[in-house]
Amino acid sequence: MPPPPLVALAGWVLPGLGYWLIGQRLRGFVIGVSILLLYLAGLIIGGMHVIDAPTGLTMPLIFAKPWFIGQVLAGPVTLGCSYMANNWGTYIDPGTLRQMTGVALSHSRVNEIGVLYTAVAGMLNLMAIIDCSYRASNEGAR
Amino acid sequence: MLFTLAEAGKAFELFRQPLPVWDYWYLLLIPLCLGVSVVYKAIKCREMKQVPREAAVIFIMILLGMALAGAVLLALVRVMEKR
Repeated sequence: MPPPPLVALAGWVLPGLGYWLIGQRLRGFVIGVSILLLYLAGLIIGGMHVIDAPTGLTMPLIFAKPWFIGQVLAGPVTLGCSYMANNWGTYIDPGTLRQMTGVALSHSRVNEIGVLYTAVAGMLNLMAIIDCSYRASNEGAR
Repeated sequence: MLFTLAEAGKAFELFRQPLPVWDYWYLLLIPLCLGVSVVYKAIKCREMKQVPREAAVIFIMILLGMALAGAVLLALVRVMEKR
């Protein structure tokens, strides 16, 4: 049985991979696919910019974007999406009418629901990470 | 400027533009509840064969709970409006 920290890290890198490592492959597949589908649905509903990363690593900046804490629990995919949101293509900012780099920020309900989907996916992955590392420390038993 | 849903659909670009579902946003809570139910029960159940039935039960319970909460809050708002 792999050590629990390795299982937890694998579960963060790819949702469901932690279960895969401890031999519970069906559980890992179901959980991983469900979490990634929720995450993908959030990106489709609200656009790539529902991943809105803090501009620095100080506490006030992090707490200014609290949903990112939930979103980043879904894995490194969040960091990739955050990079894409700020660097993929260009758009015209409606406020200043300037051309900006990245993906435009969505608004209203679609933004809220996209953020909700991605953050819930991350928080569900946290539950899965805790569960699979606990199972790894107890030889697969709950 | 007002857009029709069809015009918004033509402007939609995957991941770059939000999905044009402004009038149906509440329906998007259904797949979210389904995902939460499946993941929660896949973590909780001892045997994976229990998951489909258990997830379906909790999915329906969440939807009924939300509908009930919505109805109670709507009734509360109506009562407050009459006062």
